[in-house]
Amino acid sequence: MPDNESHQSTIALEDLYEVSNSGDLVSLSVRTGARGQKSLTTVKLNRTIKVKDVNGSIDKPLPLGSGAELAGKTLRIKTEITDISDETNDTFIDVRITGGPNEYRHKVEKTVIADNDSVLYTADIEFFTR
Amino acid sequence: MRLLLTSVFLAILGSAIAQPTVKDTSITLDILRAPVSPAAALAGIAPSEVEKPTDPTAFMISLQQATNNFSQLPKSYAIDFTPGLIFNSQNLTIDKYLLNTFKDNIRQSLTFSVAIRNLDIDEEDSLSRKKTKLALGVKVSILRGHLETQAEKLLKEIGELQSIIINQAGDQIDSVAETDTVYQNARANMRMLVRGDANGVVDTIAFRHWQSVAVERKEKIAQDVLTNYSDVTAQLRAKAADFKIRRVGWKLDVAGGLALDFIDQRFSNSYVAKAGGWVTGGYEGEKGFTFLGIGRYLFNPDKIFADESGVIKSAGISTLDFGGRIVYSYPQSRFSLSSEAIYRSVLNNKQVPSTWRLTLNADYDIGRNRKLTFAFGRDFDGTVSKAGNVIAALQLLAGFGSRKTIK
Repeated sequence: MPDNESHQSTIALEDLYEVSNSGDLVSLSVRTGARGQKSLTTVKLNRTIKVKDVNGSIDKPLPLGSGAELAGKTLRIKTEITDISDETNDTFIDVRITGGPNEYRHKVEKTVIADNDSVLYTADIEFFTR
Repeated sequence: MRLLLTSVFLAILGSAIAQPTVKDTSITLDILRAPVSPAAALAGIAPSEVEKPTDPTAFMISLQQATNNFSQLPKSYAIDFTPGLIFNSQNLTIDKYLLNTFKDNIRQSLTFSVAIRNLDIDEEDSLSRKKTKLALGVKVSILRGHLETQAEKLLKEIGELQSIIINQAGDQIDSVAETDTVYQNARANMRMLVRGDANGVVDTIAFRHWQSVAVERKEKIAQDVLTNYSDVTAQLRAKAADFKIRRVGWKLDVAGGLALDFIDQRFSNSYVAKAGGWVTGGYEGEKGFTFLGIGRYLFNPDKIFADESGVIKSAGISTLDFGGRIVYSYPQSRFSLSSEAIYRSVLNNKQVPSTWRLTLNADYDIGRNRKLTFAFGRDFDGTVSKAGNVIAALQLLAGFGSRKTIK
């Protein structure tokens, strides 16, 4: 996770998520933090925008489609978190996907070194069936 | 404004009687403010000693240390905790933090305070019995105000810059990654390995290896792309540094608490030693008018506010004090005004009469570094004082804002 002089760092999450080849609806929620930080998120399926410029967390599960529709596609999440909190320099995203055989949950975090730095989180999660 | 100014001055001049006095300026409305921690204040514990955990781990550690691993009551301990912030608050990003609905205000501000103090000898008790003081308190902001316009604008601009990063830079990152052989190779290996062998067993070590290769490569690609956005990230940082939370508008805070004394440290032998309730409310304008009102009820206060000379003992005494402050100040306005009033009383003892105090300061900029000023005060003992240059400038006052020749 290299840092450049612009005080902007990057964190990547690379993964796969199994979906069933059925009509079960797959949903996504993204918690962002930490307390008092400013975050903005855009979610895409391949190149198609699902939601754009969401302030804060995506608390209400976002329906992505059925397992059969999603197989082979990649979920792309981009979240920029800027440290504006006086309380903490912590930042994180917590990705949760439901609708497959197992629930997916993964949290990635970074504590910025200097106040007011930003972190770009990129998450690429490919859906697959067995 | 001319009418207002003239009315204020005339009203003051009519009532003011010149009696030069030395006024105690240390007593201000702030004396009535609710303590930071009601329980600690009632138990006689300094605010600096109050534990304020912000997450469940810190909360448990604090309790564990104070009770010697839950084996004994602490000698002196005070804690303030806000359940809505301790539990499940990490994703309380700024958008939620600034919400000003009743539900959010309660959830984010409802704070409980607990304080306990064991006294081997209580100086206040003539029988010098052992005592345990247990104080419980609560504080809540029902109205917290909204973010001031300037900060709101800054937050919007930060969002616009963030949007450039996640959308424009984000698209470029995806485009580069799609043609990057190292990244695509790592992803292909992950894709192959995740399905497992013929028996469905996944080679976790190999999968993790290719996953970390993909992560490292993606972060490198993203960082390279972001170097082209250094002006955006620099602006983002500068605006984030300028951002400060200042809430304006209507505000209302309520606090209360009581302290119980357990004689000889027996649970069955207790009484209410002290109690207090505070209400603070008002309107804070971004500019222009700001006003604040505070009400305070105390039972068995350490010091009776209305009884400066100590005529009565505080045992069994209830006091009610309240006051208000109004400030008018506008950057482009020549007129500014501030006034403060305090009323203090003892509810259940007639030896000490209720008294009040009023101060008023007004000034008007007449240009060329000259100001008309007026200060008026009525102290608790009824003495009135005034100061300023208004009287000397009365002739000048008569010509305010008018170009007519004064005859």
